[in-house]
Amino acid sequence: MFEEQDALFLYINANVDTQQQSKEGILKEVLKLIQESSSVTFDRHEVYRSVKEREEISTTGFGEGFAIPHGKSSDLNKPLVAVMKLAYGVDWEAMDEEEVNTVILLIVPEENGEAQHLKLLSKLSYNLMDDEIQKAIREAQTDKALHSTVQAMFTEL
Amino acid sequence: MKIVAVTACATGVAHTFMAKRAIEDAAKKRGHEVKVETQGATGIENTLTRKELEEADILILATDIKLARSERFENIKKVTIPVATAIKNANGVIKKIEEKLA
Repeated sequence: MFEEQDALFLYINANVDTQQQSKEGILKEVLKLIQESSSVTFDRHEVYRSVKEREEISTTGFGEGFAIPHGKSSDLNKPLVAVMKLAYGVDWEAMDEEEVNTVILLIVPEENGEAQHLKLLSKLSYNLMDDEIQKAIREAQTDKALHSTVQAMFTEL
Repeated sequence: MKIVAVTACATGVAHTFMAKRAIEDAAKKRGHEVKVETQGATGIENTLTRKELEEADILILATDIKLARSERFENIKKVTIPVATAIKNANGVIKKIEEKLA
């Protein structure tokens, strides 16, 4: 599901249907999925390059099966948060060496996006450390269930 | 105990806040008072006051970089650990501190 909110765009997919087995493959594919169901248009290749650049500095593998890749888009006027659960785990060079099966991708506007970006990322990394939130995301089987958990994580923005 | 901490990471902001949460949760779970200052890409947030630093039993510096305004931390009983250690094992760090200070 894709929805536009006051502060951000939200894309939720509790069952990503993909055969991709690498981090790069997953990133490319989910960007395509997001774009296809999105009400805003953005250049997904630009976003991919920016996300990839960030991954090369250091992994965004969060641990506990989560990854929080992030990048920029010059087409967006507010951040896009995409929360996606994969059927299989993918290697993300995470700190705890666990495979990743939940990808939380942040795409922020290229222009004046820095402050928003840091705020989103700090909120996300803080809240995602919560065992209860991790559990709720892990147990969410539907977009609807996943949506309410994600919403709670970003509410105070 | 009264625990104060500062978290800071090299690449930006995520690890700083992951470490903050890990220290807060571990300290509270073990029955301590805790306040954590962050020095991320957004600057200093939740700044520790002089009074809080003076009253603290221990200061945890969880950092991979040189901290800003570090003169505040002189002459205070402290432990310095990598950010990753705080994220992975804050509970163990605090347990060790309890043993040392007991």
